Order: sequence, then structure tokens, then C-alpha cells
Amino acid sequence: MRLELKGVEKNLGKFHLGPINLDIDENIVILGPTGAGKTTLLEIIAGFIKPDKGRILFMGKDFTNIPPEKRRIGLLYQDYQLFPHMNVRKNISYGLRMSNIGKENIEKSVEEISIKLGIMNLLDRNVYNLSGGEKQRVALARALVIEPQILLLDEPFSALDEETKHTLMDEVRKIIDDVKSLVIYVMHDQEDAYLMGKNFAILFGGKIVSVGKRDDVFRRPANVAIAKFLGYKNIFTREDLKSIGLDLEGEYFTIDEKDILINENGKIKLKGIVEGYEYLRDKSRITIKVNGIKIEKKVDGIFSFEREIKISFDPEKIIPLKG
Amino acid sequence: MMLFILIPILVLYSFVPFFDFIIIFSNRSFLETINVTFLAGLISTFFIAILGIPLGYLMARTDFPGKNFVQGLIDLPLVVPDTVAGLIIFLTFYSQGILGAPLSRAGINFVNTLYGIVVAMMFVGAPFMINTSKSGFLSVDPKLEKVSLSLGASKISTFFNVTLPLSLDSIVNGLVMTWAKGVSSFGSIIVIAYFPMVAPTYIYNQFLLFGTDASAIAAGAFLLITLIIFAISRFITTKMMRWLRK
Repeated sequence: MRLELKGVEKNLGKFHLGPINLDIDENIVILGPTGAGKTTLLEIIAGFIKPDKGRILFMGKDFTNIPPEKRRIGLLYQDYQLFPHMNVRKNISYGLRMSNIGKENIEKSVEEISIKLGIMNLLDRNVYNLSGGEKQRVALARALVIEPQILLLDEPFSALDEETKHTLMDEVRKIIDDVKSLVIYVMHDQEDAYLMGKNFAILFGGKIVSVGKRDDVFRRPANVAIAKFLGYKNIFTREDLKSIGLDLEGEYFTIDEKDILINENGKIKLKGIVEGYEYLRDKSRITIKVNGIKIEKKVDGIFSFEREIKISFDPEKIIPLKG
Repeated sequence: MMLFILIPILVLYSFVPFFDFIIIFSNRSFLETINVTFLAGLISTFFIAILGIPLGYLMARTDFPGKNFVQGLIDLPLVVPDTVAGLIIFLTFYSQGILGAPLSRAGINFVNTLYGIVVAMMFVGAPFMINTSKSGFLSVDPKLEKVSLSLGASKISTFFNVTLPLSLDSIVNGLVMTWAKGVSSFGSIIVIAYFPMVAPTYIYNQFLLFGTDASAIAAGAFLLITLIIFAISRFITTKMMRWLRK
């Protein structure tokens, strides 16, 4: 499966998307903050929005002017969008009923996908009283039962509570690994996205600013804004680094919190004072003041304020950034 | 608020002697009037539905230059006094009017005919149909329609399988309101068609000729029939919506 976006552009009032050039031949996560144009891009791929410029090719064929109903694209929205006037069975069979494949085949396909997603017991239920997780499974079954060429998942886990989210992420990953469709996730949460995808495209301000394998994209943010979006807490100027004895070429720099060590094993060894403390869900984050600059680090243990602390890192872990 | 509506209705019925009230349901001219009123109401509602529901959809789902102007135009019959509406209809549809003249040549006359009553009812009833169906369509999340399209349904199929069933409540409400506005119209109809008499004209006529008692009997009977029709239509709508949601 291969989807190509060639110079795709869309003007929506003050917002301009593109030009987008993407060659997708493996499942991918399109990651970007709110307002980056993710939904617009998704709707262009689905065929709901016509691009002003550019072409969309699927398996070499021009998709640009093909109406959405002819694209065979499965779509899963964040809020599931189950048809409220239909029960679970009718929701799942909706796409099959549109293609006139016969009642027996419809029933067989609905049963197969329901067994696969563990929702056989829900088939005759009203969609109103399903839980968030059940709704998502039903919406996924409805999208997958038509055997889509492309499966678009728009913020699939945003509406779920933490516990359901992690269970479902696992399940969805297993199901997705099993389908033949080209899967495109659109997400804004970089932590969730990191867990779901192997290939990434970062959409920022309407433009794709980074494409590649997960670690390449996450380890090499292109600029300060993207670094911040990807969760990099430590952004330094050249002067900052000079104050801790490092003189590197470039304007801005960052380092992953993981690469800062609370010991003296790194080549650059520093002494600092714990100045701030932030409680996170499973860990804490401390702010260490070293020679006038602040360094943040996620930690497991408890560190008291004003305590002196030794930290270290390797200079090759420093990532240069554009402004 | 309920009392504010109920007390004047009860006052009306206090003027109606029970025996005369029963007799009026066998009065030929009254029954003819009811027949004309409800028939014209049904015909006008039918045409408004055909023309108004698509316009409601257009107003809910599309943006186009001059949309606010079109909305203003749709709402205009709501703010125009009934008699002014009647005059507008008369001047447009009488035998020398811009639409009345060519239609008159084709044998369709509007002055003092059922056609005249229907166009007057259409003019005053249209905003109810267009605006309620527009609200109904707006209440349907466009993402539901997008999901339907992505599942292979055509735009028409999506409209009939998703949009229409989900906005049916509002549309039926619009139909009932449109019909009700039509059958209760007086000023807009009387200018173009004093005859055949619709119920409001008949009640007014009874008042002029025989006074309060006679008009109260006709008004009470008309009110009762309308109330029964309203109750039945609400009952059917509720049942229909439950059936659709199964």
C-alpha cells in the first residue's frame, strides 16, 4: 500500500496548509499540536476537503478528485461518531449494506469482526449506553468491516480515561498489526503517539517539518518549537552552555532528560542545587540550578529542596536546534 | 405560563352551550369550512415541505455569499403583519399580478379560490418549515455524514440514512407548526380569498353576523379539532422516533 501526497495545499481563511509532500508506504503517525492542520490533512486524504493545489496518489492512481464514498477509507473519529439511531449491529453493518453484498455475507462479516474485537455481546445493544471503550471497539469494527484500503484514526485515544486508554492502545495495536490497510494515526499527544507508531510525520503550522522513524524524529527535533512540542524540557542558548564549560557551534540546544544522569558517569560533570519540584503521575521532575542555568530531569526518588546534587551528561547527547 | 394559556381557553368554552356545541359538528357550512381549512393547510404544508426542507438543508450545510440576506428573507413573513402578507399575496397573485396574470391565462385563478388560500398559507408558513428543518439539520454532527460517506454511502444515501432520520424530529415539528400556522391564518387569507371560507374567516363572519355566542361555538369546535389533530400528530411522531431509534 502506498499513499503519496504531492504538493498538497489548502487555504482556509487565515490558515494555510502545505505544501505537503508525504510518501506513506507504512503505517504512520501524523503528530502535531492543536491547530497544526492535522484534521484538515486527514479530511483531504479522506476526500471531504478538496486541496487547492497538489495531487493525492494511492497505489499510483490519482485519488485527488475521487469522492470520499469511492475511496474505501475507514475513518475513526476521536468521539467515535456512532450513528445514534442505529444499534451496534446496524452501525457495524452500515458500510456493507451500502455495497449490496447480500444479507448472509453481511451477517457473516459482522460476526467475524465482532468476534475479533470481542463485541459479540454488544451487537443488539443501543449505542447510547456503551462505555467509551466499547464505543471505540464498535467504531473500529464499523471502519474495519469494509476492509478499507486506508484506515484513518483521528485522535483515537483522546476521549478515554487513562486506564481504558492504555488497555485499548494495546488492543488497537494488535488489531492494526493484523489488518491489511495502510493505517494513518492523527495525534497531538506525543507520549501516546510514541507508544502507537514506528513512523512519524510532524505537522507544525500547516507544514510537515520532520518525517522518519520514531527515534529519528523524536531524537532530532528541527527547531525550538518542535523540541518543546516533543516534550524537551531543557532548551539552552549558546551562552547557557558556555556557563557550564561547553562551547558549541549553534544558536540553541537541547538534551533529552533521559541523557542527564544523576551521577558522575557522564563526561561533563556538574554540581547544582535542587530548586524546583513537580509531581507527575508516576515520577517527579526536579529543576536543578547549575551556574545560573536551569536543568530539568525526571526522577524516581525524593529530592529535598536546596539540596546539592551531582549530575553529568555526555556532550554528544546535546542536540543543536534552529531558532 | 400554562395558566396564562389555559384560562382564556376555558373562558371561551364557558361561552359555549353544550348542546349547540354538539350541533355545530353536523352544521354543513361549518364542516365545509373545516374541510377547506384543513385541505388547504395540508396542500400548502406539502408544497412548503418539498421546497422548504431542501432550503433548510442548504442553509444549514452550506455557506454562500448573501446567506444572511436569504435568512432575512426567510424570516420576513414572521415579522410582516398578517394583513400586509395578505396584500402582498393579493398583489402578486390577482389576475393582473406578476405571477397571477400568466397563471390566470393558464386557467388558475387565486382570488376567492382554494389556490389563493394555499399560496397565502404557504407565504406565512414557510419560515416555520425552513427554520425548524434548518435547526434539525444543524443538530446533526457533520462528522456523522462524513463517516457515512467514508463507509461508501453516496451523498443522497447519507441524507436519507443518516441526516434525515436524525433531524426527523425537527422536520415533523416543522410540518406540524407550518400546518398550524396555515390553518390559523386569517389576515393573510381574507384579502385574497374571503371565499371559500376558512375557519378563522368563518368565526369572524359568525361574530359579525351573530355576535359572541355564535362565534364562540365555532371557535370552540375549531379549537377542539385542532387540539385533537395536534395530539395525534405528536403521538405518531413520538412513536415514529422510538421506532427509528430501535
